[in-house]
Amino acid sequence: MTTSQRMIKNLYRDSVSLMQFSEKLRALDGIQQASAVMATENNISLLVEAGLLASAVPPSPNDLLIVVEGKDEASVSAALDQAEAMLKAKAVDAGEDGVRHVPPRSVEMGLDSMPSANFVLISTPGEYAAAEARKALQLGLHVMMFSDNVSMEEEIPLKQYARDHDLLVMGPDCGTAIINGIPLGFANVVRRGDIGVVAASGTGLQQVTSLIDRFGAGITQAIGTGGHDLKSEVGGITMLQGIDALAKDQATKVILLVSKPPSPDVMKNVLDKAAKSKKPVVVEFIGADPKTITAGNLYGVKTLEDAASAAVLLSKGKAVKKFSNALPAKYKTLVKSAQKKLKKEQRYIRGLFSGGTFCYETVLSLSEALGKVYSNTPIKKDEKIPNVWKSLEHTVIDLGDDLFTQGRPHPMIDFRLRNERILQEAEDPETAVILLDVVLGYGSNMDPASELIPAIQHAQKIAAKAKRNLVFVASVCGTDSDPQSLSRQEARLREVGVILTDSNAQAARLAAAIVGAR
Amino acid sequence: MVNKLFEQELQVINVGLSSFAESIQQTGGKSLQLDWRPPASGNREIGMKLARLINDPRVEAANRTAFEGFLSTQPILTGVDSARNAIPNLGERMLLHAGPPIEWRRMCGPMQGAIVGAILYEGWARDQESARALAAGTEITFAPCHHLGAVGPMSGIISPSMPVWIVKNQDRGNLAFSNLNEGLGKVLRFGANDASVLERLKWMEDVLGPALNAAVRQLGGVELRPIIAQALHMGDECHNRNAAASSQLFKRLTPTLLKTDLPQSDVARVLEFIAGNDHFFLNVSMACCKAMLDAGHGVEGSTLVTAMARNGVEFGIRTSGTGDAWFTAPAPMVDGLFFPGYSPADAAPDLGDSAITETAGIGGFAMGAAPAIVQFVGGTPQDAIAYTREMYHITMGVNGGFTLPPLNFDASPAGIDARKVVDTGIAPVINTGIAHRDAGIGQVGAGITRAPLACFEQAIKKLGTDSQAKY
Amino acid sequence: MKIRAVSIGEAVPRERFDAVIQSVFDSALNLRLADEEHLIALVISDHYELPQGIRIVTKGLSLRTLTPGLRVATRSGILRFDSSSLSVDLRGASVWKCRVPELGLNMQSHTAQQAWSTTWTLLNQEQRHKNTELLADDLFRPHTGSPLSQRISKPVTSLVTSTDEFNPRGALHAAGQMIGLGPGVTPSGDDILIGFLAGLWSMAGENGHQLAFIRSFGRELIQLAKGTSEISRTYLYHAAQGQFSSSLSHLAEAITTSDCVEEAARAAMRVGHSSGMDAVTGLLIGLCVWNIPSPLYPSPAGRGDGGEGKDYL
Repeated sequence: MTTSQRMIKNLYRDSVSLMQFSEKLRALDGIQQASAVMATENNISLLVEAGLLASAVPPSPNDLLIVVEGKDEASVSAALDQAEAMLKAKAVDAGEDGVRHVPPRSVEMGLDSMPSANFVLISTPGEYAAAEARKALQLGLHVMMFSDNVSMEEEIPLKQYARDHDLLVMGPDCGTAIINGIPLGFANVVRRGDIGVVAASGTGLQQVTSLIDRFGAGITQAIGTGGHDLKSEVGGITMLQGIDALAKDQATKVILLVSKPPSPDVMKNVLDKAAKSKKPVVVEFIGADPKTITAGNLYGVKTLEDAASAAVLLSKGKAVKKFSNALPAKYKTLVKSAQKKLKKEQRYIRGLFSGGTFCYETVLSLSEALGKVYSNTPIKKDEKIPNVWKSLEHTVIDLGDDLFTQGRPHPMIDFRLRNERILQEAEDPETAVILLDVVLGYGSNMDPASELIPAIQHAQKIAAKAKRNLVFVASVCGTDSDPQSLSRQEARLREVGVILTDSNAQAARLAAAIVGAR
Repeated sequence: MVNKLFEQELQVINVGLSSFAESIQQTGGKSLQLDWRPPASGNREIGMKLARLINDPRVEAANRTAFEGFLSTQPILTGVDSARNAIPNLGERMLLHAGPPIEWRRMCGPMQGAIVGAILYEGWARDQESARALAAGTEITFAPCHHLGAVGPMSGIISPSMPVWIVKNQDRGNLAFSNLNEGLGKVLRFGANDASVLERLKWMEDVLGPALNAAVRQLGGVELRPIIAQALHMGDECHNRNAAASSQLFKRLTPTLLKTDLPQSDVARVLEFIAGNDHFFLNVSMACCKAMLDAGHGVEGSTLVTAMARNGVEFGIRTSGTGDAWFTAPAPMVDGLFFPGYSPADAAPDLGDSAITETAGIGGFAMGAAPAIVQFVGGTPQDAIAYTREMYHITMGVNGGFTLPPLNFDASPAGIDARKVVDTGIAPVINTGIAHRDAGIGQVGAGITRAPLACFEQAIKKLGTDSQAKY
Repeated sequence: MKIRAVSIGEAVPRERFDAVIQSVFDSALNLRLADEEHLIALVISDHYELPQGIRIVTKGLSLRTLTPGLRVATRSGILRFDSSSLSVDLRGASVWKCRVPELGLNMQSHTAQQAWSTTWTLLNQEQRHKNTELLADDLFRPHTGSPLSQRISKPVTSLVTSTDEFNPRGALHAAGQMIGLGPGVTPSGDDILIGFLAGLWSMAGENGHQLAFIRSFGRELIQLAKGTSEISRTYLYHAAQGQFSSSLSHLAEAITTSDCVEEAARAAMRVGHSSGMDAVTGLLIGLCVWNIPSPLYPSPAGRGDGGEGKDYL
């Protein structure tokens, strides 16, 4: 007479079928006793007492324990094999039957395929985006609206609905966000950490999150609000919700806010909310005076780079230093050698940007250093460029402007327009520095260096023919984990003589230094 | 809940650029790409109205009430009587027709032919010519069958002397009616109106109607749900295939018919007539469906579709929450198999009230149970199941009483939700016969068609206008 | 296909939750909530309610096509299953609430004692007829019955005595020897404890002393329940808060009102293979504490010596 047992993991059968099952086992050849019970401590000791179990086994109450007693090893182990096979046999085959299935057509139908969905990402043409967002919210799902061209009349009720139901609406016109480590829309692959970001600007968000990664820290969440959120009509609903959520979020130690300066009433509400968060909050209202913001737990900064640096310092428990406007010493020799290459009449910077916030930050920085800067997105009305297709003195162009993107992909994806403009600037004897931004991450061009390098080399040839040299200054926004790899892209641009800085703000300062006093 | 999101795995439904769904997956997230297209054929106003209705608690509550009413019906066949006696508010010179309202001059050929036949049958005119003149004048009123609780296949003409089936919903007491099926070939419903047609109608009035009435009353009424449920297990979908259901009814009626004191020759002819017509049950099935759907009609705010019907020119639908309004679009052509000698060029556009069966969740919606039907369009049994599966996406629920063997005895999809039709762009599927475009030639084929989305879009526009949202 | 839930138990979240399928039976499945330790159950039945149950009545629905591990989620009141077109609309379902704690059953009353006796007789008949491992009578006859009966009889007796004396430690010690003991997904020992709690809750009414005992015993019992299966643990968890299945509650109600006792008893015993009978056993035993003389212990002298308990018969 011998006994043996087997444990079947996480198996539930109703009591009736377990009873029948034990009876079937007992009826097998050479089997005297059989029992199938949940492997609880009390059951195990009962089996030991009854002599069906040689010695106690560790209890695991959610598993099924089968014990059999039979005349010899062979019949006992055969019975156990058969028992396991019987239990594991699938009652009904739910498999494929060759019937075609309709792919999900609507958000509601999507929920039938993915019941635990908690988020809807909308990038339909703008005219349909509000309706899809409305459905998603009414179905209890959070929303990101990548779509633009959604009116404020549509945006406001959506955000009010979301706020009243404790749901998030990022956007409309929210190009990027990172939720739970997953990049959404145009976004970089950023290390996870303890800094939470809320940003009204897409490239602003990409710049701060990429720099946080570059500086060795990481983020919890990066919430995009869309460009209209901080207008007084909307009232910063999403930014306020974002601050609240990050304040409550245990994983977030430091909060970082990015936006153009909001309207005064919204600014007050945002700063009040930030002050109440009881966490350090770095505030980058691009173009606003940091001194008007800094107080208590609020840290006002001037550039996106300073914002990232401050957040990283705070996250590491260090004091926030006062950031300087000056160009770091490491760039001084680069400035000197660049200046030597330039002829006297080469006096101007030509900035060609794919990121709106990069363009805006550059205009601010260059105006401060050099005075008049023409742009299609100027700070002062009289500095609006008369003809966007032709540069005038210092000119900084946002090629992501609707004017340029009608009927063609965004310049972060399609480099043709920018490359043509690079050649055009190269022909101009007054061009000294061509200043660029390069944006990596999901959604962007998969190899920007390969797109830019031929144009840069061609431009250099054009200049050389006229016995000139051109200086290229750029910053690459991205991380090494991005599909394009930051270090690989930087290495290739450096090879063709492009001067690279860590951040867009530094690139602007470097360019200004080159054309400045000489 | 925002903070709750931070603790959960992000699972994204992606509407729009599919590359976003891919990059989410590449970075370890979960995403589902929708096969999205702008709802309501891109009409923004309707699209927004639809959005507001999705999961709106008031609409959901209204739909629960309407759907409950519809599902809890107990339709009983109670007897046969003349339309004049049976149908309340049927005027002495009134003719009922299929589909949404339509005036004489716009009617399709088969419907005009049937009206001429009905006028001759009633003796209101002596010949074709004067019948036509009478129809074109003001003396006769036309009304959709649906307005008086009735339904009729194809042209659906019901005149006061015609015998009609009477179906009563025991749950609420509402009544529904349908004419008796004349069989195939030259028949009034396809617009035929010669002497043989009129003779048959007269016989149906004098002999068939009273005989059936006697038999049904003798039985104390016939419960219809069990017959349909059983027929679904025997390969019928009770719209375009009624072979099993007709046999079931025949089985119920025969013994009692034999016990009546009618002349034996009459009984023999009645039995022969029923036995010779595989579609005999169709009109009963339709009246049964009408009784079910009327029980769900008239609930304010409800998006339950309570009728789909065609007059050969327009396809119309009604919803529970929009009262007597019809939402119409041009009647579609039917994709199907044509009898030898006929081609799509001979076909009239979709015609008849018989889509009431689909509205009630059988017919095309139960096609999975009736694979024979897909042969009309050269399909496979898998296609039949696929049609039924597709319909689950646009219905409010299922009818637990009607189960489908090839779908593992799943209950059939039931209760079309106009919102879901517009949101998904999945149009209700309909199995139907095809009439010749000219009067009197009869059925030239059978096949499958879809209800036009435009009808549902108009309904949503009206329902959305009526509903006032807070935001 | 979308199915409407007919009723849902008071302990089921209605609006929104995430879960995975924990187990699947012919006409029921259990869902493990993401945020909580306890299961909720989807039950196809015409009448059977659970505090953690979502009840549907649809015929023609095979739960066997669903497999454990599949994700399930409720959004805005609609429960949906991953890789299945099945969904259950929870909105509009009536909420079922167990009324056992409101009963205030008086076991001193003659009619209640009669109802008790009727049920006890039925129970033992049924157990003999079904040839179950546990026989209620055997619990109070030392060294009689199956090994399981013999093993469980001592803790049961001690559970009764300790509870009667308001001795929570003694009661818990006894419960500890019963948890997870016996056959089935909800082992017999657990079912007896669940029934026992139902008995206590039925009688406590507004008696503060008794309520305090039940609550603290329940709290500790939930801790002990880690030693048994997840499904069983869920029932114990609800039992500790006075929430029981409709069949057990109806029996408690029937004994309270002496109305349709036989019918209620038969329905309660019909649950599962032996679970129903074990729970009824527990219920009847529970009804014997705090009531001296009680049906089980007709005279104070009988206390502690279960052997004489059969005298009431």
